[in-house]
Amino acid sequence: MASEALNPNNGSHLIVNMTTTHLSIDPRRLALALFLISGLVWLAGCQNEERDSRASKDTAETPLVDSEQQLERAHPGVLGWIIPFELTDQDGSRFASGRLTGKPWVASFINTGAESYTTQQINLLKLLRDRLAKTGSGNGAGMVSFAIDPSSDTTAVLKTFTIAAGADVKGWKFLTGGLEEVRAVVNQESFKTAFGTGGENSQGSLERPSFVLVDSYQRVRGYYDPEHSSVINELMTDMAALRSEIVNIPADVQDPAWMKERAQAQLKTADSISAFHGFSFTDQRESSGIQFMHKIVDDSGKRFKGVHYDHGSGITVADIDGDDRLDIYFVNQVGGNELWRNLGGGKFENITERAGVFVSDRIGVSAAFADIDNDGDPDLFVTALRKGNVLFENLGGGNFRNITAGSGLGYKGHSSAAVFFDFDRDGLVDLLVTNVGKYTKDEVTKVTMENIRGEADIGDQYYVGFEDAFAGHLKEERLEPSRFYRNLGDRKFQDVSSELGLQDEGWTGDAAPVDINADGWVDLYMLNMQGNDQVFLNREGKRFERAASDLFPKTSWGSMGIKAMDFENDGDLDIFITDMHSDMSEHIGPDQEKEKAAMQWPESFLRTEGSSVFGNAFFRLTDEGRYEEVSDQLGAENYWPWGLSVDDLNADGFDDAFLTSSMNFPLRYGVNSLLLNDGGERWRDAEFIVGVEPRTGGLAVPWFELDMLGADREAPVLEILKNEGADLASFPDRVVVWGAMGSRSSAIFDLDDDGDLDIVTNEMNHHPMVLLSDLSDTKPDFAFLKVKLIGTVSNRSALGAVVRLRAGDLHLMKVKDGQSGYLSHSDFPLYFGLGAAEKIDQLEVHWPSGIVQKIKGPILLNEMITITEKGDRAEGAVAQPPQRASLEPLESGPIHVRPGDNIQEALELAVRNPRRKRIVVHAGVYRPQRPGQAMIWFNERHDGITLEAEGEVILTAANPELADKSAPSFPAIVNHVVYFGDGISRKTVLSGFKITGANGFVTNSEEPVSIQAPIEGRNLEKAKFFYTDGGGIKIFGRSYPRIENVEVYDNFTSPCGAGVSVEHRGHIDGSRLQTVLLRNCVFRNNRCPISGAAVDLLHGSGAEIVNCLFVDNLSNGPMDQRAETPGKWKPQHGSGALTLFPESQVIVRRCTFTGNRNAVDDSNQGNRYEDSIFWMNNAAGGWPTGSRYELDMASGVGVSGCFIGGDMGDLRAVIDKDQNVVGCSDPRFDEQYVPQAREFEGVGYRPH
Amino acid sequence: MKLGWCNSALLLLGVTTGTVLLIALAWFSSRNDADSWNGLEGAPLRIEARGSDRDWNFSYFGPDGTLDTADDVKSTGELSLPLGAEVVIDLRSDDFIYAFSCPDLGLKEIAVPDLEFSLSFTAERPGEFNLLMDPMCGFRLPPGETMGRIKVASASEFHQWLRKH
Repeated sequence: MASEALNPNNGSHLIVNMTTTHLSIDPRRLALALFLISGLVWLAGCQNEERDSRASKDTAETPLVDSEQQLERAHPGVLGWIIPFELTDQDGSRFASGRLTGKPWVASFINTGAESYTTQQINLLKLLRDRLAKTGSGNGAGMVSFAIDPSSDTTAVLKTFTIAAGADVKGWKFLTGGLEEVRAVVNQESFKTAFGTGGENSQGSLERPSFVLVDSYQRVRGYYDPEHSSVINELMTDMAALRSEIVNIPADVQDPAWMKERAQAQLKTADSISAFHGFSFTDQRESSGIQFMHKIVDDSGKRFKGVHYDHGSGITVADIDGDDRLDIYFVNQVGGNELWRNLGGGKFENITERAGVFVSDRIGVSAAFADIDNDGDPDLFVTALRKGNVLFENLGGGNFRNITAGSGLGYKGHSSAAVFFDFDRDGLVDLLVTNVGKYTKDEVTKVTMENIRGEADIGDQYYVGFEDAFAGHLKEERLEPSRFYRNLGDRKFQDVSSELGLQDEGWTGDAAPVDINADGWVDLYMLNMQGNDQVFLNREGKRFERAASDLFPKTSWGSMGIKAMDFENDGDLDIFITDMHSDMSEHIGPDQEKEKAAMQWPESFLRTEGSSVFGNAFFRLTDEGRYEEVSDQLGAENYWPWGLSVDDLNADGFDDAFLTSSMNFPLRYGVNSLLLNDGGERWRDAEFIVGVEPRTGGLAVPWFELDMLGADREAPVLEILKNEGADLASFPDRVVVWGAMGSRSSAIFDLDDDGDLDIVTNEMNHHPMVLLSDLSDTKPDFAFLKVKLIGTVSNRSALGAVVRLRAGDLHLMKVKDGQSGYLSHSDFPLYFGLGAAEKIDQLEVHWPSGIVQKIKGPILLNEMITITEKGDRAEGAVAQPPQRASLEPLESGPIHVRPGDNIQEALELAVRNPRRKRIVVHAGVYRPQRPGQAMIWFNERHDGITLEAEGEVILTAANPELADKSAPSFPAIVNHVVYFGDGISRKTVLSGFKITGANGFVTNSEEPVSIQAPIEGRNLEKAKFFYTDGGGIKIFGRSYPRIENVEVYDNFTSPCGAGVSVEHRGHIDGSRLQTVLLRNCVFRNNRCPISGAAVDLLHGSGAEIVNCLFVDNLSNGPMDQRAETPGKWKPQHGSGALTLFPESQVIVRRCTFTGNRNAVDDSNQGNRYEDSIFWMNNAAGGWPTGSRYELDMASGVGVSGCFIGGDMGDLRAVIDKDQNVVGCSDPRFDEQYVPQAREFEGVGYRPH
Repeated sequence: MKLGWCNSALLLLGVTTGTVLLIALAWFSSRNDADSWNGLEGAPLRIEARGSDRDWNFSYFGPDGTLDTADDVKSTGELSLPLGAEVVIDLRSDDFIYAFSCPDLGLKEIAVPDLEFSLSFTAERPGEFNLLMDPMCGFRLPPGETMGRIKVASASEFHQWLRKH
């Protein structure tokens, strides 16, 4: 019995015995049995503990996985979207979710305070990483762990934690941030599901959240319970399923073998290229901030067919707000065009909505900037498909207004390029709109393709393309002639195509304005993308005449892009044409791309009777005045080119070319071509040499998605996929087809103001490329000149102007034709690379008006020179005013004011005449003719008028003949020389004057006329400072004029603001450009007892001050009765040449302050002072104070790139010494205050 | 009844003659059919080639010279021609732009919806030749695949082919 009791298997027997009979048990045996039973129980408990412990250990270190085999699981569906976010990672850097796009990632939620659970999660994820690495997919997935208790889990804590946990590895981000920002991310719908409760996750509570699998396109594809024993396998299986979704078309599109071979072959040729090529481009789109994404209609994707939608969209560039930085407008097919403002330093911001140029309800094709009303800022014209082209007027400061209605430019059709030029040389730019031809039906359908973009634009409508669209040139009923519009003035245009004989018979994608026969009148070379090109000669601005065919006996059959340029610097214009469509007749390999197309199409399709070149054409103008086609001789051929941007990329004096070239799904990748001009003798392929190819972001992108269980299971496009080798039978439920990337439009310009030229593209179905050049850093003898032209008699944009420059052996010629690339017409300065030249010997401008202007030196190298059109006269001579004419209105052109005329009368005249908003004041001295508040005043009805000086024009407050000789204010008789009142925008311009003579004269009399009507309810009542401050210029109310090239000198006021006083009273908004612009101005020897002797921004005022010189201005001067205040006036603060009162905003950029009595006092936070010089602002005299200071700033956060040196550089010790040079050396100014010390290059004021 | 010598000869003659006549009739009939199809007797062999959904559909004009009648012969992807025949192919399209492209025979012409194009040639080379797909329709076939074949064979083979279709 005892043995039976010991046997655990007989335990039940013992119990039965005990219960069924009275016990007759030996107590010793009972005790032994009990002991043994206890022991067994104990052992069993130990095993369980051990199992638990092992289980817990397994869970912490190794999950209980069945095997490493993939599981049988349903294909992961799309469960939600991740809203874009930006938090701070464990290294303290900001991390944006956009960086996760392109590969799947796993989200997890941690709290280092809940150590065991968090450790469990981390260990699981580490295991996942190991498993992915084993399968070779490690680099293709990311991990993001969100700290849900950010108050405790700071970056430092996370960093320590990740290191300790062995999780501080590339590709794994631990994100934290401010409590609210983290909450906003963690509490989004998709993550709430991970927490299961649907409610807000309270701080510190984990609630056992799931892992979240997010795909390459920021869509949630699954939730995974970390407690589940197969969680890793589940994730592995589903991530493999995501990988299986990818279908590459063609199969090698992401990494074709020929790219490496091609790169190597080209790199081997580098040594044979004489042109400088030791520089490179890198795509800095992400760091630029540009987020624009080009999106396409289904006809180019999921409903693919051969139709002209694949021609893409354009890009245009101009300085839209007058800050001398070039801004970019991207055109989109779907989802809306975007305007990106250049902030400097290679950074941009999206201002589409606030600028008012959002066009989203139509398929965009191209855009062009040009000043259509000669008011000094570029206007914008956008072409679209069938829903109407759009005209925007630039109101100044980058604000636009849609003025299509009534402009005559709202044509609805298949428009393509917009080409501005002055056909009749009347000083107004006219417009050619090219129309391709009818390639769409009237049937409308919806875009369905955007599931993988993260922005569902599903629902945009578009016109379905014809299946035989590319045979449209064979059908007369599909012809859609281009339109030519004459500019009538007052922002109105008239279609004069028929009247002037412009009978377009081609399928015209683009055209070039070029003086083909050198008769001084701009002709038109119109491309035909499916046949012979057409040339129309301009007969003296009266009509067009089709040129004889022997002028260009053979033209490219499929012409798509064009640029007139001087290839060999012989002073003549050659014409480079790119041919895309000939290349479509045969699919060839990369090794044949430099050959002309072996045309496969029959004559019945071509219809050119042997008069075609099947490839690019380069027409060189011969000495005999004929054009000969020399494309192959020069090496100008390439494959699939759309168009070209031309400029001197290596600044060697010879213009180079960037050819956007590609097709997309379902064809292979095609490289963009970068052709270096090798001394005017040959084009040299260099896209791999200078880093344009291969693209850093890859060669393919997701093109469209197919729902194989739903609407797409019988999609016609599956036939294409099958023919390209895809195994349809193996498709999972959801497939993402990847296609080749491809550029369409481009523009070349100096994007980051470092002197070299950069390239921006508009891609098909993807982000643009922002290719920044490092030439300025790498080229030893780097020299350039930018030439900004301002027409006065000619159109203001100076379109049609020819600039000739001679520098040593270089003879350069450029035409401002606006042609910046394929579907790209822009307005920006001309760029001359100067090679090794050390000086410019000659510079002359041939204006469209016929004026020839020679610019005398010295002309500084590596600068931008602005040339305003003036009559040809000898250097130094003051232009003799022509016969005095009355101010009676002429039919067109500016209003001229001459000595003896009344400028205010001219302003009133401009108010009455909507077509004449420009007033030119000729050289002389102008005085007020009676005492009053101001000599010249602008208010709301004067908005939009440009008042500019020609020659030396002095506006003075002084009139000794009328002033009271006994008055302290003698000889001044006005409070302000110039007054800008309420209702003035950046469209109002004051330019070129010298302003002086204010001497503390103050009257508040409104006789005989009030300069400012009362403004009710805006906190804009006229108080003390309205009358007293602003001797030179007073700006009051909602008033934001543009003041440039003005010298304000020798003015006195009391108490403040002798030079300029700005009094916005809170009506400012820097984000909307509601600030005054002071640019290229000089403030000299202005004096006041208190503060802001040069520029004074009273409470709530705003200004942008660019390239200005502040010298010898004296604040803190002797007190007078007006200035006296109880007690001492801020003995140690305040009283700078530039003063900002509280709640004021300023951006000071590239200015110089020297010799003033204190430079700047700013009691605000966050104002910006960039690239400026503050040197020895320690003028003697004034109130006894502490040391004279350079900067008295409440905050130094916005001060960067500045050089500061003086008795007291940084009064409050707030300036960041890493960002600025505090205690700088002597700039060694020359007479014009240009620093001669090398380290000041690019910093401070430069004479304009 | 016993046939006399004369009666047997007559009988034999009649049967033989009838048989020969029948054979001749059949032969002439078939020959006439072939002649009316094979373009060998003055009138060219006329065929409509219609591109539709990326296929070539061929319709042979029957002896009545009219399309879309009962005597038409139709084929998809396969064009059979008698050697030596004058051929006229009317090219049409229901949807895309097609190129009727047979480089081996030097043939290339387009078919475009709502437009009429045609090819005229003599089928001089016997053999089988590929009809290629041209990129102008925006579509590519997998390597080795074609849009169809042209088969140039003897008149009798052509006749046999006609019968099958």
